[in-house]
Amino acid sequence: MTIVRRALNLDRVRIVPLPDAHALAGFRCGDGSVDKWAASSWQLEQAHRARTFCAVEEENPKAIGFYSLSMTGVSAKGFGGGNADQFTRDGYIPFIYLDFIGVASDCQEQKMGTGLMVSALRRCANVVRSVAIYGVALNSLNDRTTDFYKRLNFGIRDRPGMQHPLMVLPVMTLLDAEKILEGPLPQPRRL
Amino acid sequence: MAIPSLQDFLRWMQGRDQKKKSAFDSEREAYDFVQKVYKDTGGVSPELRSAYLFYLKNIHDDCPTGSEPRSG
Repeated sequence: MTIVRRALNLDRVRIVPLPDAHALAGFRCGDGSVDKWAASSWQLEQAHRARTFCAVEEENPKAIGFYSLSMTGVSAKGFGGGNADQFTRDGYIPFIYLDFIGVASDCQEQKMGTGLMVSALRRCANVVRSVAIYGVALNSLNDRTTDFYKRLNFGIRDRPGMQHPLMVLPVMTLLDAEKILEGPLPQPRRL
Repeated sequence: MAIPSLQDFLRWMQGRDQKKKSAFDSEREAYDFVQKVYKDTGGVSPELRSAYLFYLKNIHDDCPTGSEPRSG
């Protein structure tokens, strides 16, 4: 099926908290799992399960993209009483989890996804200033997105039996990136 | 719509009947993983820097600006 793409005017697009139940109704980005999440995003918002932010155009009530953030824990199995140091919280790893991010099919390939991604990371950085975490985690759905996240310096955690690899951006990278917005560009670190 | 690769298809087949596996066996392992990723990648990549600059120039976001990151 050929998708007809329309040119976006980014001056008319804003990223805002999910405004209502209708903004993401009928959202289609071409990946069924992302679309399914979008369809339930308002209920998840009301249940405080995930916070969703979406890209909206002036005078268009339908969102053209979105992302959802939560504190869903990444399970650390079999971790109990024997290791009495500061890294022994049972059960979960402290990551902010990027549940899903998507851009409507007819608005793709215009860097809206890049804008949404940075917006998500900025909101994570705001959290980090008050609550300690190790990084931002997500499950990459396919090889194309895995390559994209690798180029942003997400690390990949792929073990046998995981349906989708976990990818993590270290909190230190997140805070380094924030400095880009604060003034002179930081020089790349020497490896 | 992107066409799934063979690897994507095999992952899907593999994951259908399996119980989800943990990404880490312990919090310590996760902590060490994050430290290693940061050390190995060197922090902000050119692509991440470019993404932030694109955002700065083009994206209107209601995200509030935070205060200085804590150090130390």
